[in-house]
Amino acid sequence: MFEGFEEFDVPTSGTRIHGRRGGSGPPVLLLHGIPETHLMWHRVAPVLAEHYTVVATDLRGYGDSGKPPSTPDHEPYSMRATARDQVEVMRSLGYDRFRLVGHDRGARCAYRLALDAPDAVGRLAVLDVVPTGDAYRLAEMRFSLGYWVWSFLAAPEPVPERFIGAAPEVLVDFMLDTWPEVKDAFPAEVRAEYVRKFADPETAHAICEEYRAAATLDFQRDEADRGNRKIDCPVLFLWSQRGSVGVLYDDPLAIWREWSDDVRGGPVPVGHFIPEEAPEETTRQLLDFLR
Amino acid sequence: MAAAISGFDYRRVTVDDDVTLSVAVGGSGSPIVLLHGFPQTHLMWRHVAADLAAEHTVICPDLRGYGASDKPAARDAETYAKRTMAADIVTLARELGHPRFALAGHDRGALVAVRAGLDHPDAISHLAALDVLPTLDMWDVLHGARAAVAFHLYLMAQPPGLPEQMISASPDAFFGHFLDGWAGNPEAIPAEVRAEYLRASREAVPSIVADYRASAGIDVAHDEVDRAAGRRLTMPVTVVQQDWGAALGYDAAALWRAWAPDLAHHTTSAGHFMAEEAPEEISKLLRALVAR
Repeated sequence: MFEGFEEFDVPTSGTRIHGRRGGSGPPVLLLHGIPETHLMWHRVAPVLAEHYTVVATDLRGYGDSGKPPSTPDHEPYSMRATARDQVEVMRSLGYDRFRLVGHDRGARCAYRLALDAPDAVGRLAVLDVVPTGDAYRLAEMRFSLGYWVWSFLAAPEPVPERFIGAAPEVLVDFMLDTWPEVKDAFPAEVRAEYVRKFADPETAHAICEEYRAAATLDFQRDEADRGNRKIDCPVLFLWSQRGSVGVLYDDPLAIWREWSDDVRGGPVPVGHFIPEEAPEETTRQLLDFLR
Repeated sequence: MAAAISGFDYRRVTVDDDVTLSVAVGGSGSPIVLLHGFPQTHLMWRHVAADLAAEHTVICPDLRGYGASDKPAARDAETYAKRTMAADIVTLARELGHPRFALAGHDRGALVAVRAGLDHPDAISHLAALDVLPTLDMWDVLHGARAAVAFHLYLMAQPPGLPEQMISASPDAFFGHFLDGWAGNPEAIPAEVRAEYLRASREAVPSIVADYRASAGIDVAHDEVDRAAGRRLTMPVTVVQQDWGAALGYDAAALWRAWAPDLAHHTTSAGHFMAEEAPEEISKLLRALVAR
């Protein structure tokens, strides 16, 4: 797994970010989602590395990255702060401008990064999310029933933290068992690593803070940017056809077209964990788009 | 004893195939039935019930699935539909000799009371609902970025297995969160009463979840049918709420009036557990209701 990649820990202005780098060529940054770590790219990264310098990191709060203390307004776990880490990591590694691919929470970090640091991003791929602002603005009962994890993790401290602490595998198993459609998407050692990292109380708290920030700061910032700021690079949007994006929105591409003038993409016939469920299709689409 | 309303007589009444409710009865006079909410039992009415017993027959059951009442396994969505739970209460009162009665509910009990008022208009003379919104309006108001304050609604709406597992892993933390977080005045729930609520809730996780799950499914369907048919609560109705509307940007009285044309709507400065935090205020409002 990740053969030929080197591990690194890079300090940022807010914390310390863990990741791996491999391959050669123009730089590509890969960002994971919940309840995972950069390991989720283990099938995609080696192929991309034949053409690119591939960097895969853990977001702040997740995996082996730092978990800085939060504040009452949750600012340290806003996507603005989370994205700033990643710009700084890439700069430390020598890349002022890079291609960017994010899945789930990593996709939220990625589009926020593209909005806040437009000069850093040449191409943006977002997997299985619409922007947080759109998700909340279009939300109704059905959305919130399907996205119950959002309200649960954003519930007042320490309720979700205690729940996760009492039985961490229950929530991780729920996500890893019910969100994919492809059986055996997770090798045993990868799955065990996800559970191990999620079970760390500091990680659980950081993730809850991230969801609290999403319901407040991230939502407000997206709404403030709507119609005022755009992503000024090409965007590839892939989503799970029968997953929540495919089911909730009649025209998912139209949602992203409000944010960029150059949006392409389409549904993929697998579940939420697209890079792990359909690694060949994901890699093919990315190689095609990132060129 | 902490778990009993002093001076009330406790009995068990069978209301459905294999379902027996525990009920506290006291006082004499025209009947009023008081229904508790989550995560509580009939004990929440201890002050109001003792007060109203001076001029009423006061009937305080534990709802099916709660407290000392039976907690049938959910065979299907009907088992904990508010329609079923409301029918329990109408049957209970009739078995006790009261085919027509005033009905007041708090929280989950208010949802049962509203359903009873819609399904059994001839049985319910007066209706009070404490600190809820009608089910359809509640879902309409508390979604998206506001859903975090109502995360338990979304958690317990999930398919069988997950919510029961998660809550059972730390039940006291879960139920305690609401008992502590929703109280305007925590001293209104003394330690031994709080312990009793936690004990009762711990032993009722599957049925409590089933009650909530019904509110995201079959109860919504029943309410939608009634709304489409223009069905309303025809009896005098009193609603008492915390002032959430100002914070959440909706007009609670207008939402209620759409269901209850003969409405007295009050906001209180007390917290969610208003029958324990401000029992004189609640008793007074209930007396005013039955005088209408």
